[in-house]
Amino acid sequence: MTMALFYLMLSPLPDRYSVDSRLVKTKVKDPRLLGFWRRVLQVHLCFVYFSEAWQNFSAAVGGTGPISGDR
Amino acid sequence: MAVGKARACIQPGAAEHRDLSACCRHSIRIHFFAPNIPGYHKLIFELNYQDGRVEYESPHFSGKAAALRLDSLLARLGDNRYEPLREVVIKMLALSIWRERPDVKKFGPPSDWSARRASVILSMARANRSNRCSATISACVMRRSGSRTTHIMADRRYEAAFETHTAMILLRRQWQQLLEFLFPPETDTWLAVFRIGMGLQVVVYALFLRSDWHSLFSTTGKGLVSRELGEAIASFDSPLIPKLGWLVAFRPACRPRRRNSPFHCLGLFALHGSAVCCWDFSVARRRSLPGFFTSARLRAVDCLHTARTIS
Repeated sequence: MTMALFYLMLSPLPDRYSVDSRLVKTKVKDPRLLGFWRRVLQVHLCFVYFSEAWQNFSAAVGGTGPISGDR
Repeated sequence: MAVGKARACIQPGAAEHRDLSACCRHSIRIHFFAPNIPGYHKLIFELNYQDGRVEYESPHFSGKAAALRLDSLLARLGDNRYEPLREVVIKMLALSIWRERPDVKKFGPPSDWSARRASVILSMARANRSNRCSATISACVMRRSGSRTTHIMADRRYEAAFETHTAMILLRRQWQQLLEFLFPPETDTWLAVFRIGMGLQVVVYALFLRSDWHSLFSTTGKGLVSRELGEAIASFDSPLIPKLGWLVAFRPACRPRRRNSPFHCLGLFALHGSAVCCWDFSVARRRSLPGFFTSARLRAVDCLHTARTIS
């Protein structure tokens, strides 16, 4: 949740469904900027899930970290 | 001397292939431009007009240098290894002719040619003035009858420059793909869903922790961390640190006569808001919760009460 709130803080708000965008007419955000922040969030989630899976895998195998080449 | 040697080696039948190779290697090493080898490829477009007329046209050039570059370009067009690049080059050459003749209906190869054929489809938007219709461009790359020695020399001469150019095209394409991956155009719908979802999660999270918040910040004196305790600890550091008790003590003095008026509610709301902010900062300044609002350098020298908010 902390990570999601951090990226929410950096995201180009307000969106078109927010109250302040309806009260104050704001310019439409750059669609490429919106896509960039979504891509950053996706890549970060990929790293999170990968590291978690790698940690679980290494713990299940030997509990001493990643598998080296001589094992 | 080197110039004379290089000129001598391009005379027809002047030297064998081995001598010619050595001569050109020498001329390249001393940065002398290689001899002008006559072209052995030719690109001809057959222009079919709407009224039935047929014309034959070759790509134009202006100047000797442009002619030499076009000659080398046509020489590389006959090579099958660079099919995408050849397609683009033929499109560009055909488009330059087509812009001069907007009434051309179709580009085609001469009917009596039986050489290798590189057919590309060029679909144009009808809205564009210079591209009125769709056309099929068929470009014939003819190989002239010439000496095999000349062919080999031409290939060797242009090999390095052409591979560098191809590598640059591939690098530019990879960079473009990276930009398309990092900056895809998106709407802000995902951001609205993300924001509302996170808001709901924070609200539910706070509701579940409501009883813990009450027990932690209870003002009855029975809580784990009471306001009086925090203010007393803050007073040890400095008596001038603003405290929530000041605002609480200040509130009855400015209480209006009509307690239910909107201004009264608004004033109480502002007072409570500022009090909550001050309370949060006073809690954060304490030694039990250092770190977020204080700098590490000032904490190291034990100056928490004078530490800046962020450093």
